[in-house]
Amino acid sequence: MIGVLITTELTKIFRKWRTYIGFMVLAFLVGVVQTAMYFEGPDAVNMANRSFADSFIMTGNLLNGYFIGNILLNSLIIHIPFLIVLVGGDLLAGEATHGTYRMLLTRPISRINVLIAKFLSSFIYTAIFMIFMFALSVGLSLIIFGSGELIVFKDKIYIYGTNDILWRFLMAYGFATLSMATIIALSILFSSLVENAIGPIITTMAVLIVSLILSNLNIGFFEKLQPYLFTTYTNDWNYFFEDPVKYDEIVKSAGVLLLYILSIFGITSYIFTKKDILS
Amino acid sequence: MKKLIITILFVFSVIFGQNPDPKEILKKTEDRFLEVKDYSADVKIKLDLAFLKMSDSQAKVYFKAPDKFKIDSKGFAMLPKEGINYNPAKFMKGDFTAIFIKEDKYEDNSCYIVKIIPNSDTVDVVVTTLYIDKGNYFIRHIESTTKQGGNIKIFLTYDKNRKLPLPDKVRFSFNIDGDKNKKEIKDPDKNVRKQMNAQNISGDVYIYYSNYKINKGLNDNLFVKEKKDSKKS
Amino acid sequence: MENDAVIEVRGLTKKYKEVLAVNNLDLNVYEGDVFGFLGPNGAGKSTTIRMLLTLIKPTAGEIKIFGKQLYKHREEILKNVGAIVEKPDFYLYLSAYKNLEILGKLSGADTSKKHIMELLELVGLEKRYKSKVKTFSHGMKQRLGIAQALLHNPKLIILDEPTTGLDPQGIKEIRDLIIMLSKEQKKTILLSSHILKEVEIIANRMIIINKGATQIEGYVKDLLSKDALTTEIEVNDTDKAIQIINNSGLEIKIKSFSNNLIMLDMKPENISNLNRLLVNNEIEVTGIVKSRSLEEYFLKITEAK
Repeated sequence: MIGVLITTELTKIFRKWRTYIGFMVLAFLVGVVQTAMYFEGPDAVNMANRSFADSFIMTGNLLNGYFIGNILLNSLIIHIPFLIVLVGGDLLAGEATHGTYRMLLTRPISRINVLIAKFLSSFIYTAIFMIFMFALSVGLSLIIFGSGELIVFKDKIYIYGTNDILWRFLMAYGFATLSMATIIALSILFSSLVENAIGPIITTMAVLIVSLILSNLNIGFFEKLQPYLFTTYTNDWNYFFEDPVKYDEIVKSAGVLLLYILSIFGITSYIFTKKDILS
Repeated sequence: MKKLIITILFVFSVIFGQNPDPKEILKKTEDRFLEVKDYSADVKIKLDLAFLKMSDSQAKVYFKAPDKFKIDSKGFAMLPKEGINYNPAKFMKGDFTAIFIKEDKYEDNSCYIVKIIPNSDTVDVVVTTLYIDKGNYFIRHIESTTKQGGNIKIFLTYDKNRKLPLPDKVRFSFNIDGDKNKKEIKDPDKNVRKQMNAQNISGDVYIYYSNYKINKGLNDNLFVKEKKDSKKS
Repeated sequence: MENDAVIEVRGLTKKYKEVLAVNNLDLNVYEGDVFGFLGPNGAGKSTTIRMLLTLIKPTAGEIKIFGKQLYKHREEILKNVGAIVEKPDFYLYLSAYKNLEILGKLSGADTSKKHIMELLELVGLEKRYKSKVKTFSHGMKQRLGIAQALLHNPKLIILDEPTTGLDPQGIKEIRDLIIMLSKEQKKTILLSSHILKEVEIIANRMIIINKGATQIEGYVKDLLSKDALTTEIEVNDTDKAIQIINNSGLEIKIKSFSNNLIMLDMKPENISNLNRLLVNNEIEVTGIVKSRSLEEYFLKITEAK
């Protein structure tokens, strides 16, 4: 039955026009950046190289699909949550708004199963969205700009050989998907509390913004709070672009995010199973 | 300060008697180098720098006397500018003072140690020390000290059977830390890194040369783009 | 003899803060019943129906359906229950067919094209199966609502105001459908409605609730026969007829009269007696009309308490 529920939920998600807003916005942004880089890219690469251009002679082209892909990942990832909560916030509240709770929850299926299906289908949607982003940001960039070494600025400058890049992107996107899954889970929690999708969408965005700010404030009290904020861990996909990769940190961060997802699911289950359906 | 160093070194050279003429040593070294009209070689570059981490890269280098250089690679490769050519003439530009320090063993090779001190205050390098093989006048080791207090050491290794001064392995050791007022910036990853600039390089670069093709008559057209680059640098 | 109880409700209560929406309600629906569930607005009908369908959790009380505790055997029970709760709402961006297919899968029903089209044909929507529900009129949605209630061939059908917003033709169609489901398919139906005429025609048993509590429950025929009918008679001599009625000794109350019409409150069994009496006293009786009884009964019950 869970399989049927998930299929049903995915059908509902992908038959709504609202779902495609995120995809269209992402495609537009990626296209804009790729177009800009096509014309202005060499200057961007020179900027990247300037710290050692005086002392070294260089050959080869760092302006390639991986470089663009990395720029896109870094610049867009912060905005992706705002696109995916458009779907997450509507998953439960939308049923209330449209009165379809009455049809759905009078079926011989448990509310827990309905909720599990909602969560899982939202994660599948998130994964599809991230795959789409990967395909456009990295795949399409490779087609337009070709392959080559990747220059990355972290604690030091890393220049990765062509056979040492793709797996990093795949792992980074995988982790970023987990981060986004945590955010969409949060939007579902808020969605369970109300009967209109706008509320959970705005609330999730607000929580995200506040949490991100607190995660980055280097002031005594907030630094003590930071280990407990999920946004402290959502950008740890960055570790995949360091050498050596700090797998222990990544595993820890992934563990925290999974714990958040489970906790959010637990709270939402409690609310949803006890809730009187009045709409 | 510079004048004091020169004076002291001059006094030492006089005190310790009849020493080879440093300028003659440098001339002979240059003459050996001028025997190389052109060469091409495969290079493997290994970088181990504090601010930069890069996997080993491979390239092909071309050189044509006096100063044409080109590096070619399928992917990205970078080579220290000091690694373009080891012709001592580049250290002898303008007005300079050459001082013979002593003869000494360097890696089982008897070498002349000669210091070159530019007389001008406008150049970056304050003093360069050359270790020149007494037997074949190959440069085995170069140490340069910059105005900012940094230094570059170049260690050259030659194949036993090498007839011309073209190394098989070169190690560059950078310790350039010129800007004392570096800013620290904390990025969103919470990694503190020092503001990187051209004056902040430390670490080693290894270049392994192989498959030399020497004096084959390389065409000038091969260097057209590279010449523009060398003019820029 | 009564059949097995399909729905048994004991002491059902729902309290929202200080408001008692359902107050210690008892009701029984037996197999094969078409059970009328009546009450004024705000009486607690929808709340009760929602509790029967587990949309709302009771504050107190017990619900058994098919002899089983509802909350212990929820999924097993709901496999045999089809329902419309208030106005049927669907996924507007999906077609009628797709909505039924999705809901059917969730009910474990046969979702073959044949079965779904049969249902759509039953409710007269077969030509609009591809249309998105957002293009449907209210009446069409009502009919689609009935189709979704029948997807999994349930034994018990709960219909909350199924004819709301329908035109007279639509109302008749729904009524005929309910009768067919009851008589031919032997379904048990709980029907909540404001259209009392419909309940009187279709239902065999009924309950009237008010302020969340049972007012009266029983067989429609029995409940209505216990109380007086309002009857209108047309005679040629009103004054003489009134005199005869007053002297008749029959339990008849004159409500009003004008010209040749007299409105009377009387038990159904007295109609023939009165007719005979008037005719024997040379009064021409040209018409006897029993007026709306359930409505008056309903108003009487709900206003009295």
